Amino acid sequence: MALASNTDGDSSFDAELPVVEAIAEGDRYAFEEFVGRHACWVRAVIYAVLGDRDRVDDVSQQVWINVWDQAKRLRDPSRWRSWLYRMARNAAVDAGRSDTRRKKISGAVLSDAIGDGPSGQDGEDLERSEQRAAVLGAIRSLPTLYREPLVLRHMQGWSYQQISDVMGMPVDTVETRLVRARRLLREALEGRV
Amino acid sequence: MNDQGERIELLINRKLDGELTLDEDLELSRALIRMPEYRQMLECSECIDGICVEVLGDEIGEPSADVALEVDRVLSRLSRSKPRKRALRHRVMGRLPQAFWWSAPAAMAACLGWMAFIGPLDMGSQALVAVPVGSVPVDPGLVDPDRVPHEPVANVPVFMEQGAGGSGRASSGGSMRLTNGYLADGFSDDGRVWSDAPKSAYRRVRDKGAAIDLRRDTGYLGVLGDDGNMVLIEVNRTRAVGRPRPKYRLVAGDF
Repeated sequence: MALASNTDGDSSFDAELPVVEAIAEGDRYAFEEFVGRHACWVRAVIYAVLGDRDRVDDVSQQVWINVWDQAKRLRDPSRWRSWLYRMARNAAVDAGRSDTRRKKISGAVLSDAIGDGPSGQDGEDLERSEQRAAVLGAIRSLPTLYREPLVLRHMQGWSYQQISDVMGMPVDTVETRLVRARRLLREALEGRV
Repeated sequence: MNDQGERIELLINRKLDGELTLDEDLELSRALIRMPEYRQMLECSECIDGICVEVLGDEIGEPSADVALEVDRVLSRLSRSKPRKRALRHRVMGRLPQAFWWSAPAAMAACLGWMAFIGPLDMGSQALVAVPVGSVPVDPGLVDPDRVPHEPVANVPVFMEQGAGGSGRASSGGSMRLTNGYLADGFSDDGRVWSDAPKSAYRRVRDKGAAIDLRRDTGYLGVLGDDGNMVLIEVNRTRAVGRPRPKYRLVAGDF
C-alpha cells in the first residue's frame, strides 16, 4: 500500500518526509499528494474506532484540517505516521464521544437489518446478505482494541510490522490482538458462516 | 484451549496474514493432518476473513477520487474559521503578556492617583544636597553625641525625619515613628526593621511577581564642619524596593 514506503523500521530513507515538511511550510500541492496517498488508511482507522460508516467522511475531513493546521508544529517529521495515526484516532474518539446517541440509533438500525433481512432476493443472495450483516455486526461489536488491527490488516493488507509501526506497539501485541479478534469473530458467528 | 491448540491457532492466524515461515508452514500442515478440527477452524477463519474484506470495503468506502476537490473543501473550512489569521494576530499582539492589557490602565490610574494625592514623583534618587545652615539654630536632638568630628560622611549616623516633628534615631532595641505615622520597632539582629504598618501603607506599583514597593524618603545628615557650624545634608530619595515575605517586614534604610 502507499503508506508502506518505510514501515520496516529503517529510518535512513523516507520518501514521504519531504512531503510532510512541505506541508509544514504550507505547500498546498504537497498536501494534496499526502491526502491522496493516505486517505484510505486514515478512513480505516476512523472506522475501526467509531464502527460507524456514516461518520467516516466528516471525521476524515476534520483529520485533514487538523493535519494542515498542525503540521508546522510537528517536532519530528520522521514520525509523521504515528502522528497521523494519533490524529485520526483522537478525532474519531472525540466524534464517538459526542455522538453516542447517534451510534445507538445506528446500532438499532443494523439490528433491524439483520433481523428482517433484505427483501426480494433469492435464497442464495439472502443467505449471503445475512452472512454479511452478521459479520458486520460482529466486527462492530468487537472492542476497539481488537477492531483496529483487524481493520488495518483487512483493509490495507499491512504486515504485523507495519501495523505495529503505525500504532506504536510491539509486533507481538499486534499479533496477539489479531488472534483474539479472529477468535471473537468465530465465536460470534458460530453456526452462521 | 491447551498450549498446543493455542500454538496451532497462532499458526493459522499467521497463515491467514501471510506471515508464516517455511518451518511454521510445515508444522501447521502436519498439525492439520493430525487434527481435522483445526482444519475446520482454518476454513472458518478464511471464510470470515473473506467476508470481512468485502464488508469493510463497502462499509468504509473509497476516499474521494478528486483529491484536489477534497483538499479544497478542507481549506475552505479552514478559511471559514480563519485560524491562520488568528495565529498571525496572536503572533503580533500575543507577544505582550496577557496581564499587560489589564495592568496598563491600572498603572495609568495609579499614576494619576499618585499625582493627585501625593505629588509628582521625584525620580532623581540619591539626590544629596549639602545645605550650609549658618547661624540657624540646630535642634540638639539632631546631633549624635557619640559622633567623632571630621569622620567621613559615610560613617555619619543617619537621622530620620519624624512626621509629627522632632527626630529620632532607629537604634537597636528602640522604636521610632515613621513619616506615615506607624511605628518601626528598631533593628533586629539581622539588620531588619519590623513595622506595624499595614499593607496599605506601602504603595505597590507592580502587583505581580516581584512585589516591588516604591518608597520615598527625606532624611537629614547632620555634619559638624571645621568652623563649628552644623551642616545639614538633606537626603531625598525614591527607591524601588523588593519586599520580602512576610509582607510587613522592612529592610533597614528603606525609610
